[in-house]
Amino acid sequence: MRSDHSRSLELRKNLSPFLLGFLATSFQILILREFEVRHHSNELVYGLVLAFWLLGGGLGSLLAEKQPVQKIKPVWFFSGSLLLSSLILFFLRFARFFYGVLPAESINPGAIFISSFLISLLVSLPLGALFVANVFWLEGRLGLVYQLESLGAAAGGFLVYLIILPYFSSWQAAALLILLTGAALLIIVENRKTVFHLLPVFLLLAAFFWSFDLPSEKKYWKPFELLTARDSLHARIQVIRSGDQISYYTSGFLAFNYPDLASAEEAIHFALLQRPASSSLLLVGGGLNGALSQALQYPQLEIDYVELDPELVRLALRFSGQELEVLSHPRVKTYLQDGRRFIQSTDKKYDLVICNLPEPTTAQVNRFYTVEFFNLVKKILKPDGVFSFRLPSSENYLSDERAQLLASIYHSLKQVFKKVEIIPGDNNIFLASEEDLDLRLEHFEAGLSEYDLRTVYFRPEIIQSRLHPLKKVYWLNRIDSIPEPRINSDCSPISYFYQNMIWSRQFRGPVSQLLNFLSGLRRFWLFDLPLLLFVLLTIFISIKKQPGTSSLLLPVTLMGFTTIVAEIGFILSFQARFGLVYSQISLLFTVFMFGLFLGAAAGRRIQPDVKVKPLLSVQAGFVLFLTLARFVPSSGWKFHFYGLLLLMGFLAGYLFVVANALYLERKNRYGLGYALDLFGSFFGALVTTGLFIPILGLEKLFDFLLLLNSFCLVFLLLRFRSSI
Amino acid sequence: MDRREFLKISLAGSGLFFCPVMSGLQDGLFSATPVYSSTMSKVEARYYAKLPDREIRCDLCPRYCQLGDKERGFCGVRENQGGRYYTLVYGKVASLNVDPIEKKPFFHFLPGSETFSIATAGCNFSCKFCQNWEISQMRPEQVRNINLPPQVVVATAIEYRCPVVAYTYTEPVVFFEFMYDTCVLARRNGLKNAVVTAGFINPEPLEDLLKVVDAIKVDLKAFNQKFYTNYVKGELKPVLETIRRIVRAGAWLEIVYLVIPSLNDDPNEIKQMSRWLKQEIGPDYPIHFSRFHPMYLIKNLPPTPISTLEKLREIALAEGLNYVYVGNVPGHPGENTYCPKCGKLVIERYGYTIKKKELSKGQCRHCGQTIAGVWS
Repeated sequence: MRSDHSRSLELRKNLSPFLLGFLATSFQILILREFEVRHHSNELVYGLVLAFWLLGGGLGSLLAEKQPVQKIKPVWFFSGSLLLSSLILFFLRFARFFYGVLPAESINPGAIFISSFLISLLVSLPLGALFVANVFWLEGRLGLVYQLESLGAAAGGFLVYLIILPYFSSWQAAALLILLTGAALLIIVENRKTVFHLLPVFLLLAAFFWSFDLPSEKKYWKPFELLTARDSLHARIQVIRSGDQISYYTSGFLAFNYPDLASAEEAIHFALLQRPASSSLLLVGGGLNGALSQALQYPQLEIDYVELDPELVRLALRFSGQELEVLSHPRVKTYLQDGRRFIQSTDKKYDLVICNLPEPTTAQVNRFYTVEFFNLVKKILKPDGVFSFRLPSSENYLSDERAQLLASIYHSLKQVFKKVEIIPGDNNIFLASEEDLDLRLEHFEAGLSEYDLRTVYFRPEIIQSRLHPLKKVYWLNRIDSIPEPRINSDCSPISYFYQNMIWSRQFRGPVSQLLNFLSGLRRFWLFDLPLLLFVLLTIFISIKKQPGTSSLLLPVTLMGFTTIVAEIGFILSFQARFGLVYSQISLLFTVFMFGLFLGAAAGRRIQPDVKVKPLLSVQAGFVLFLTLARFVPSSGWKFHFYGLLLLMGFLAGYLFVVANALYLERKNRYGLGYALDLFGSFFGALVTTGLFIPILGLEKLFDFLLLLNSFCLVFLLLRFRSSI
Repeated sequence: MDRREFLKISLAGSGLFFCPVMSGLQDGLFSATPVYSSTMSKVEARYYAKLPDREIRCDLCPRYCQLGDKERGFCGVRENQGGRYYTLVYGKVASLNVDPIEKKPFFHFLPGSETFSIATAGCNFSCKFCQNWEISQMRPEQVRNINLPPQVVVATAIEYRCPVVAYTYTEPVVFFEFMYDTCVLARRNGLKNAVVTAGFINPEPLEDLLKVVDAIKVDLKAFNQKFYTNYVKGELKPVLETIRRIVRAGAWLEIVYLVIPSLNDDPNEIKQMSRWLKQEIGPDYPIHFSRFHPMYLIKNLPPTPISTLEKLREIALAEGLNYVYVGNVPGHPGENTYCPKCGKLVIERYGYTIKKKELSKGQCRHCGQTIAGVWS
């Protein structure tokens, strides 16, 4: 009886850190998704939210050291965190009313900064404190808490990404998580009476999130008429009606309108009339606004249409039924998959490839504007084939930021194709081929007449003004005025950084100036100087006579920085290489967290008296790992990504447990190691997506990590040479 | 560098010219590198009052910005320097083009003419949907400017055979001194002046401007103050007063109403506005209901459904306005001018192109009815 009770107590205590990892990861996913939809986010913003989340966790664990947290009962800690997370989800949906902006309106970077700071801190601070509380509840077994928390995080990621979100909306997912947590609390808590008292609150909360997803979305969209909102694997899709026009949104961005003749005609005819007798067209994205109907006016043309999100197509068919006929037309084949992945895997050769995609506001979209992507397109084009895409601009003035963006893409395209032509306007049309392109008005007039094209906007009266040679002269002059234009590549996606600069310029304030300043930074400031400062830091720590606690915690902080930077780098290069394969990217997260769990488990088996050697070994392991990782961005194997993320997780978990065990032998502080790990991650998240990757590039970034970790290894070897 | 060379270089860097006559001049004209400048002008501003402690009050627009030393007004282009007020954009052109006059749009003012169109940085409104935000919401030092004093503007317009100089894209009121001096010079040289404005200007400068201007297009953003407060950061009342004064002064007026779905497309409001226009200025001044294309801060809003524009046009016509157009929808029948008496087509348009003109000396060829406007 007594033994059963002990086992039950042990299980309860072990379940607590698992639940912490589970709760933190699953709500982080939901909050990030909601944040993305309401703030029309890009990677710069994700980086900010993630960074503040990590900072909050770190601060929470430090604060918990100073408070008598062990006196707070787990049930109150978990319930409080759950309530705060729910409150944040609710607040995010209605955040626009606090900002005083219209639905889908761009939000000031200052407001984004403050809200991401407050939101992340509100949720992650108690979760960070909960980590330390768990260490107290488990009598100081920090390694075990870390191990179980990692397992909970892996399970949370797996459950939410791969099981809940494919079938339920974010709010419905939140309802399910609230119920699951309530049930888990019944197991964890000794005094179930409290949980039974809290159950009605959990049930009400779950019922609210389950039922009010659509009504709250309708409120968000007022004064517009929301027809429906759905969460797909890739985005939240919202459908709006204004008059006889339907607008489709993906995560707050206007994806397309139906009908939208002006856009459809512009996307199709300038390109198609270059090779009007073409028999094959690949249309990547944007076919549902009427572009497919335009292309079908060419009688011999067979069209392969690639669209990423099946849910978007399903909704378009539901609300813009006219396009149904087009999609089932015998000359149209629809492929529901990532466009880049399709281009990579097809053996077919096309006369024309038209990418009808949004501008590169995110790294995700940017991979359709890189030199590597242009090379992939060239491979599937026939020798005289034509490639076309559009980028928004301003007809009357090109700012420096926009000129930089356009120059980076123009020069990237010119690296791949012999002939590149531009038709400037509010949308710049890019045309590229290995053979000649004809932009004379007479040529388009002849095409219009020969194919008897029924167009409204693509008419000689309109084309004439667009083709005026002086517009092009102005455009090219502005592009030429950019000194040393940067090439946009998968490993160095500079165009989305420029796009961020344009976005920030819309608002008065320091962000635009900051990004402008950062864009001018060269390698020394981002690469050499931080390395130099790190070396100085190691020298400073070494000045102390005895190897102290800071020598043990430095590798933990560096590990936090390294893992988050490398993880983001892996995911971006995986995405660029293999396309936006949602489930596989989710699996990458889970694999890393599982690696952490395994590493922590292995680290806990090491005997306390031999822990310096394992610490040195694992740091050496990081150096070896980063040497390998350096070649991953150009590797063609998926397995490499999974393998390396598992290995990195393992090394990180192992290092955390070993270094902390050594530290705890010297000082009895449970929160500091965890806090420093998270502070390292905070800094990594802050600088990686918005700065390091676009400006330095992935390869340089891995070089940077490799050098940092090598210096750290040398430092540890020198510092602990007497213990070896 | 002679004047001609200077013009060539300046224009090569920034102009988007449509003048057919230019086609023969292109070779050699655009080979030069553009000359940009980020410096600002320092020409004393007009319409301001000196206050104690080196403060000033700008009396150009109804904002009446009260500024301490080294402070700038809301527009960002007028600065108090030691108790004297200066315009920083005199002759500092951020955008210049040769546009068809229909693009402004003016449909009843010299149709088919080319305009030499100029703008500087700055605006006294802050519209969330501004098409030219990259210059209008910037300060002069934040954009690429070209030095183009009034003499050069006028000479260039003449050289490229543009009968009209248009002050457009941003808000010309904020570069009042530059606009006014150019207008005077343009008139002296036989050119017409057309101003594209939101009409947020005080009566005194407006009356002065009306002495040298031939046509004004006013962007009426909405017919309620709430819209002006929320989406424009301005006031409706002074704009309505501007409309009254333009007509009273005898300048040609056209009004553009950019229709943004769900924000300013209430049929009742359009009915009230049409009644007000008919009562205050009469039925003969054209109004254009233009289609909104998502821009700037609200670039994710849906564009205006064409059916909404058609509905609003019907309302305004039913209220007795004679010339009501649908804008930004090329090929739409609402782009054409119809005789208010016989209902027949008088001017057929496709986008900015005049396809057919059934107009003789400003009169309908079918029934002889006078069509309001400036036709020659």
